Amino acid sequence: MKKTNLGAAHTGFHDWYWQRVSAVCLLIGIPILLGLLLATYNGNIPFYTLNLWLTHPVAKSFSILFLLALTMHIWTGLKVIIEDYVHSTFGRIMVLNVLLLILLGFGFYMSYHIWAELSYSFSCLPCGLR
Amino acid sequence: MKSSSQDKQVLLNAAPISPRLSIYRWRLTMLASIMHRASGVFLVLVIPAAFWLLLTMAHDNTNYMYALVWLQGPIGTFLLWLTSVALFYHFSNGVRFLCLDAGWGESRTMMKTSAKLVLASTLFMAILLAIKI
Repeated sequence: MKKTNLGAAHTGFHDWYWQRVSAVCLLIGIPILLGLLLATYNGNIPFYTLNLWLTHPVAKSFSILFLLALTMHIWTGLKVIIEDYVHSTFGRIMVLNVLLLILLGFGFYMSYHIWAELSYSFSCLPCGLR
Repeated sequence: MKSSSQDKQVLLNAAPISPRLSIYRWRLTMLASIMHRASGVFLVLVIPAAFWLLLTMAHDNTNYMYALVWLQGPIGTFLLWLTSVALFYHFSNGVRFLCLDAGWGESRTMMKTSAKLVLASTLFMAILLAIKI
């Protein structure tokens, strides 16, 4: 039997699939992130060590991948919720587009923060000459 | 489309497609699902902030000191506890959902048992973290 009413999105497989893919990425990344924060909070990681770990280029690359998975998971998760509870088509489109803009801004801002220090050492013009 | 015609369409399709809290009877598995959404929305607000906080702390010594003092204050401690509990719930229930997607534990009793397991371990974790933090 084929379902005729597919819901507000009219299609859903890709969202469903990428939600799972990003979930598996976060499954690995988030315990590391929160573990670091808790250990720092308890005073087990001094500034020098935290700086050394998180500003290493390998850690920065993983941070970018984590950021990608995080924004993807936020987008797919909130999209499903909005499609379920915002019933007017106009309202749904408005809310989803505003959300997309916020997420894009967040992604750009965070990736800038992640790579900022490398940019400084390359003395990149838009990132500020020190 | 007006909402009344949408309601009629859903009824005609036999299986309602969106969660209708006023129609369904409350069950443990449904509570687990709703709480997954609620904790997810909460984490959207907090986890990006935690990520930003950690990176900011890692980039500057003075930022590190400011953030640590704030984190160890009452607001920071409470937020860290709440985030950890919400994250633990979303995390373990997410693993449960992934297992269900893979086709493991799809029977009614297994779904109920796993929902109980997730809720109970979250309660345990909340108490443990309240003592530890």
